[in-house]
Amino acid sequence: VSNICDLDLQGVSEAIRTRRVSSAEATAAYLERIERHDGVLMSYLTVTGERAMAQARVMDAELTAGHWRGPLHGVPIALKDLIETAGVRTTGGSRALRDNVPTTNSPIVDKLDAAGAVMLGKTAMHEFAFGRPRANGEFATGRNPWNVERVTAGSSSGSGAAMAAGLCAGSLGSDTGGSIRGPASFCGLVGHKPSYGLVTRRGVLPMCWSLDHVGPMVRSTWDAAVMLQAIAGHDPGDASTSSRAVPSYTEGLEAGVRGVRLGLLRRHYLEWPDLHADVKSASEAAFGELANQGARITDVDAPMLDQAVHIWLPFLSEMFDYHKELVRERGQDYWPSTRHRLYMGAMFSAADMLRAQRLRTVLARQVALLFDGVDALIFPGQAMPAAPFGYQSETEVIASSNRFTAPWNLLGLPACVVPCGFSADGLPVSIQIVGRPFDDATVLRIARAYERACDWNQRRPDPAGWKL
Amino acid sequence: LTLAPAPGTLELPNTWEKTMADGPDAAARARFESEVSIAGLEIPNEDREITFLMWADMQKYRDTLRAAEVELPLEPTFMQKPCMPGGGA
Repeated sequence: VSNICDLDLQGVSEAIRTRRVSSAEATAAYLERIERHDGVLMSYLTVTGERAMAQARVMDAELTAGHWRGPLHGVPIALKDLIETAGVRTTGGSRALRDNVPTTNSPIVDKLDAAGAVMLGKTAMHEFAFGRPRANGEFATGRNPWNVERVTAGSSSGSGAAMAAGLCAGSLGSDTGGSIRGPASFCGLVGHKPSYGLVTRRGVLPMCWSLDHVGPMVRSTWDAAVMLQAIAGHDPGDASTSSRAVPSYTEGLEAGVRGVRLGLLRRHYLEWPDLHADVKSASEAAFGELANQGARITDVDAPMLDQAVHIWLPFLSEMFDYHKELVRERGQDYWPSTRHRLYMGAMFSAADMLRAQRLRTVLARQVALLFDGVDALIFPGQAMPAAPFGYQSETEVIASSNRFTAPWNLLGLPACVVPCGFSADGLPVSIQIVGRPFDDATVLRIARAYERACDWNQRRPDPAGWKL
Repeated sequence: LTLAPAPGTLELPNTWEKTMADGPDAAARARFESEVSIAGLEIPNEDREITFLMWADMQKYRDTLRAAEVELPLEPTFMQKPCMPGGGA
């Protein structure tokens, strides 16, 4: 294997299973690459090298004994640093939890352990999943491997940077208003926000618990399917999780889109005046490719989408409720921009929240009607390619980015971004696919149909550019 | 002696009255301070101006939310989730 770190998760998994490389060798290769490049990319907050090597040796011993746990057996992965890991600090990207070492794992970590994944470490993130990007210093949020002067988007910023740079074979992020799909889009990855209730939130530091989702950020749809499979399923400790059976996400992945009905949200997204021209043209080409493969694409609309960002904002009161004691005790350990956002969360009234709840129900009904006529919705993944650090104001970030992602958190629908090309200045752009509740398999199948017709996810950023 | 009003009241903090009366955005600052008070927030002085500016910027979103027409006969639900019967879309 010439460079294991350039492979996708499927490639790494296959190399380990067929014993062309051991898990220990693969893990060592990633750790060496982290050591060499992460001083610039700043994608990890904690690297668990010794623990990873020990895990890898156990996986190699099992394989030698003839026991293969499945596609994550021995595969080195990284976790966003809000997923609790026993004995390994979990900071939420904040100085306020700098020394927080949980005594128990999130069930997500237990599931990944059981699947044989090797944890390389905990990735950087925007503070408590709602802070701003930070280029330097303690708790820096990560630089974009496609251009280190650009942000990765957030809040799963380190997972995006590490994954794109080949500093892990798979990663997990979390998504409350777009925190998986934003970084995946900006870093040229597949990012899948699962259906709400499919993956437990227990042992995950919350932002807004009714909108939080944990999901994969990886190089291909197959990788996303495998990681989702590992972490999906009912958790008796999380009342929001569904007890329905989890289907196979890889089984129908190659089924294609012939006859699949896709609803293009043209007015709200494609004709939005602020949509970047390069995103628009790449998205239109991608939708054309899906049509060429036999998908039936029609324009659809849900007028209440215009209100979605306004509906989403009062849910920030959940964020304040979680933080109100900690910020009182350790407010000076929060970055100022995070404190300011927290204050916003406190200043929505009960009337605002009730109105948001009512309007969300209207939005849900409008979107449900769309699904009477289509199997999935399609539109661009983000408004623009990755911006330079410090480019946008607080509300500009919310308005432009959340427009593309937050509605689907409000509705809890499965939503996946998949790379669809590059901007004129070489930055990745994506399309997004949204499906019915718990129909994550169809969403991934559509993403795969597009992915296999192009080579966007085979391209890698040049490490020669990873210097300041 | 404390100048801060009790949480939950509409009384304005005395320390901000002069600023509010003098500034061109006095009405907005008064509203901001009343909302800070109602929320029971303790905002450090160094955070106050930028928090006000963010709050002011946020008003267009809140105003749009409040102006949106709701023609929904049913009450909203706090608990309904996509994983529950009838939940989500």
